[in-house]
Amino acid sequence: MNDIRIIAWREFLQYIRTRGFILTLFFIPAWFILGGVVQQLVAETTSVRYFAVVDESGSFAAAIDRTLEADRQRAIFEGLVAWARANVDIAALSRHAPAVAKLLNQDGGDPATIARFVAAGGAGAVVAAVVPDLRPGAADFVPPRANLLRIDPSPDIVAAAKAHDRSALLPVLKGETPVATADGRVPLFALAVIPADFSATAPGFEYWCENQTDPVVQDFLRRALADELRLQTAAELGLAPASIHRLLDATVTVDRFNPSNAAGNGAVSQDDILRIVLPFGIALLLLVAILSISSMLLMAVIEEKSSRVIEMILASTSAERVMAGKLIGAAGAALILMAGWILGGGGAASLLTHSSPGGIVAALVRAHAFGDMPAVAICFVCGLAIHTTIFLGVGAMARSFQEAQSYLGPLLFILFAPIGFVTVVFNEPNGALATLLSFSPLHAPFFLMMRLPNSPPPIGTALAFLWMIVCTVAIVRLMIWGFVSNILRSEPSPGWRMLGHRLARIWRRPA
Amino acid sequence: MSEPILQITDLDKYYGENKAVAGLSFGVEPGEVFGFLGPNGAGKTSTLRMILGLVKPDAGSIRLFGAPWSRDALPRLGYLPEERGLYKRMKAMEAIVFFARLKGLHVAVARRRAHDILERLGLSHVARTRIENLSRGMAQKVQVAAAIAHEPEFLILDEPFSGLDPINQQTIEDIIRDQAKAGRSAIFSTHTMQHAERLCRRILILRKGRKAFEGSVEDARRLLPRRVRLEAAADLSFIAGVPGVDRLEPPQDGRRIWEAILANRTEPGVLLAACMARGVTPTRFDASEPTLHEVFVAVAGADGAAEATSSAGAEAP
Repeated sequence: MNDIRIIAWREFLQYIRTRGFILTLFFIPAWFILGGVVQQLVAETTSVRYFAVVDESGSFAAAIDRTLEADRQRAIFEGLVAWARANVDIAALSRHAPAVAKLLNQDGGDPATIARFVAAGGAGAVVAAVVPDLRPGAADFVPPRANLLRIDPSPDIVAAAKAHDRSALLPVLKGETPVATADGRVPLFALAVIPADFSATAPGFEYWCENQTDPVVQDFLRRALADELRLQTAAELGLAPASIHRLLDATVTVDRFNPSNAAGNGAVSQDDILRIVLPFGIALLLLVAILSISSMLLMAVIEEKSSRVIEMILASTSAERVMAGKLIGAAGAALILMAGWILGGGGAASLLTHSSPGGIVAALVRAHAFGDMPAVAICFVCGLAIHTTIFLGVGAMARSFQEAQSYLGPLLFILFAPIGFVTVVFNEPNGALATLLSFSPLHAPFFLMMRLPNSPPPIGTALAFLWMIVCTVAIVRLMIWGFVSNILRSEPSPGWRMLGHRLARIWRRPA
Repeated sequence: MSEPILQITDLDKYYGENKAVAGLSFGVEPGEVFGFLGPNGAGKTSTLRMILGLVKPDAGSIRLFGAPWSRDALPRLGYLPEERGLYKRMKAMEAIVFFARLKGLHVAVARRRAHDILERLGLSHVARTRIENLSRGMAQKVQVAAAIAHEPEFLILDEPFSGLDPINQQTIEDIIRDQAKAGRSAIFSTHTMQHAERLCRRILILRKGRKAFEGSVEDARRLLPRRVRLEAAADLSFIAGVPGVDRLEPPQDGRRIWEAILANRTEPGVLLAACMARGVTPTRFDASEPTLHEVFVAVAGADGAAEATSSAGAEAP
């Protein structure tokens, strides 16, 4: 055992000391953090789009302002809900201020919710109500910045717009001639001209903007004006204003239930979604970890062959024990990689959601994310064993990196081909394709892991696990044979012609 | 008599249709430094790799330490491969400790031995230097250190002097001598006959996978007829009639040097005696023995092979 331990330890140190490994270890958490930070930065640094409306009809500017304010309140409400999830003890809030807790649990896309939020006093009142239930170290609530602001155009701009004076509008819309606002002089992003006869029968308006790829202002104006036209049309049809608002604000909310959920009488919560998504993430991380470690393993074997180090090692121990040591070392490195990614990912999630690490763990416990751990561990071990031994076998067969690449090409194609089916498996985790992929020796560890939280059929799943373990043992044994037979081979691989001759000789050989 | 450390009997090895080793038999005695000589492709490395179990023989047997070959014998062997076999990114000290531990040494003992050997080889200053940053000579010495750190009873060295300058060659020779002094055995392959002449009592010359000669260095020298060069103002043609002289080559190019080729076991003194009897005093008498290099070229080379092999049959013990 001592020789296996020595080889395993050397392999482990060799992998974890490489720059590639360290970079890979930090890549996933850094990617998480970078993604979140970039999202926040984009939200914070996107410039406010100032736009002007020349309303020749005189009856639509107020409607645009109403929609602007409604959008603003919705953005504040959604920001408040996200902040409360990370910073407020919701259970305590439900006892102490159930109405506020209920409000924070409602759909921000529903205009009625926003109306209730405004009626309750808006952000200021809600923040004041949750103060007693703030978690220790909670961050202050910072309302999101408004990204659209309407300004009153100067008479010159109005005149230029009405006269279609392109040359007069150009310096204004290019930002060369800033316009005066309450925030100071700013560049005008867009200008809308609503004609005097703007109506449901003539719903066209002019939109002047130098940037034709940014649709935010244009889409907002179309939505605001369309809503107002619908209101006017409904009024013309004799509907009372209250009825019109009821009509326009009507939305549908969905309360999702899963009969497999024991908690909450089957109600589907965020935790359930986390439970389903998490194994997908872990399966993909496992794939990346296996590929990273296996590539290092392959390169190490080829280097050992070309530098004849392998002869020195095999003068002390057997090829089987060398392989065992290599696999254990690689498994250790893969575990470090996965643990680093999961911890780093958790840390990044904690940082981005302003939650404590304990809060992240509590969310995972609530999501029963640890319930599938034994099965996940089996998938991890089988996936690692299958792919690392295959790469070791290929490394033993190849005399150079080029030769190894020629063997790996078809293998990687087979390995990655079903990646395109991940969405199908996600949508239909117990469908025919998902079941089929669970019995594919190279892919079973990943797809079984993905299916685990979706209550796959017990007998089929047990058979798939059994088949995966049998295939793992068979592949490992085959690759051990390949490794032992080829690790000291230095002559070139037989060409197609030579292979043909050899096969013919075997065929002709009398039984 | 004690059992040989290594006993090879009727060993065969094929690579496809090519017979790399054919019916090879020889032995290495305890405490002996054995020279394993042969031109490129003669089958030396294949034989050494079979002794180590890196390659399986197709026929024949290998006995190590008086028992049939088994993996249990590996910790008692030290091996120096033909090409540098160290991890490039490992430090010198780490490399020696790693291979010593694989041979079963405890980490503390391995470290102490590695430290001592590096000091003895004058490499203490590069103990923490990566192999890739060492010169070829230094790396080869580290490789030797890795082969002997566990104090093997039998050292197998494949071309240990290849590519080294004379000073480093001398260091490797000293290490092999030290091993022998400590009562350990060694077998080494080489193309450079001077090393074999200086280190070995017995040698084996391999040609195309077959044993062309096995015996002492002295016996090897006797494979070639002895040449005696005489210079004198008088006519020495009478020497052709002296018993034991196979052939006499007269002077050429106006020089006065005669060359007599003696029959086997004829002492050069008979020529001197014949000259004295005729009253001729040679001004030069050169009766040096053939070098091992000349023997090797004759035995292992294509041209002299037939002649030398037939002699070897008579001379080999």
